[in-house]
Amino acid sequence: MAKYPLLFTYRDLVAGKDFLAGITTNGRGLLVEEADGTWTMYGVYPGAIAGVGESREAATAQFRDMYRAALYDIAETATSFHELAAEVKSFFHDKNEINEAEWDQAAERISSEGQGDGWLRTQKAKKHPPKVKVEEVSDRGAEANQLDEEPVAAVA
Amino acid sequence: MLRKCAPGHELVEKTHLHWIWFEGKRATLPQGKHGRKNNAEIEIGHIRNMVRQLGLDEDCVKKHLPQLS
Repeated sequence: MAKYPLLFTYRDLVAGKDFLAGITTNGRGLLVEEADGTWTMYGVYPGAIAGVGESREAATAQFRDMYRAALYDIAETATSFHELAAEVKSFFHDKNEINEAEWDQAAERISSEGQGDGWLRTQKAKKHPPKVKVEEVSDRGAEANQLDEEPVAAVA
Repeated sequence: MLRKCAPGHELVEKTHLHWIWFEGKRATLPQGKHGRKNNAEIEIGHIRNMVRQLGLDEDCVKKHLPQLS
C-alpha cells in the first residue's frame, strides 16, 4: 500500500458578508493507494477532510474540492471577516493525529530511500510548516488572484 | 453508526458538506451525488478519515460498517 506525505499550498478567494478574504494554506495530506487500487487523500492539516478517487489525480482533486467547500460553508455563517478568520484557523489547526503519525512515517521512508517517486518532487518538511493566512483583500483588485502550487512529497 | 459509536455527536448539514462535531473535534462528509443529502452514498475513504479524525472506536464502527474491515 503506497503512502505519500504531501505538502500542498492552496490559495482561495472567499466572499463573505460585505468582505472578500484571501486564504493561503500550507497544508499536509497523506495520499494512499488502497488495497482495492483506489486512492484516498487523508487530511492531516486540516484533518477534517479527505478525497477519494480511482486515480491519485482524482483523489487529490476531490480533496481540493472538499477543502474549498469547507471554506464556503464557513463563510456562509461568518458574520464578519474576523469571525471567518478565526473559524478558518480553527478548522485548519484541527489536526488528524492518526493521519499525521502515518504521514511522519511516510516522510521518514522517503528520506531513507533517498528520493521520491518520479511523478512527485520532494521538499524538506521543515521548510513547509503547516500554517494558514487569512487576509481581507477587498481593495486588492486582480493582485488578489493567485494559483495553487503543485503538491510535493515531504522528506524528513 | 454515529448514534452508537459517537454518542452526543452533533451533525449539521450545511450547503456544501455534512459537518460532524464530537468531543472537540470536527469532521466533514460530502453530500451525495446531485446534492442528495438523505441516504447519500459516501465513499469509504471519507468514513475512514472521519473515524480517525473523531477518534471513534474501530470495533464499534466495524460492527455497523463491516466494509471498513
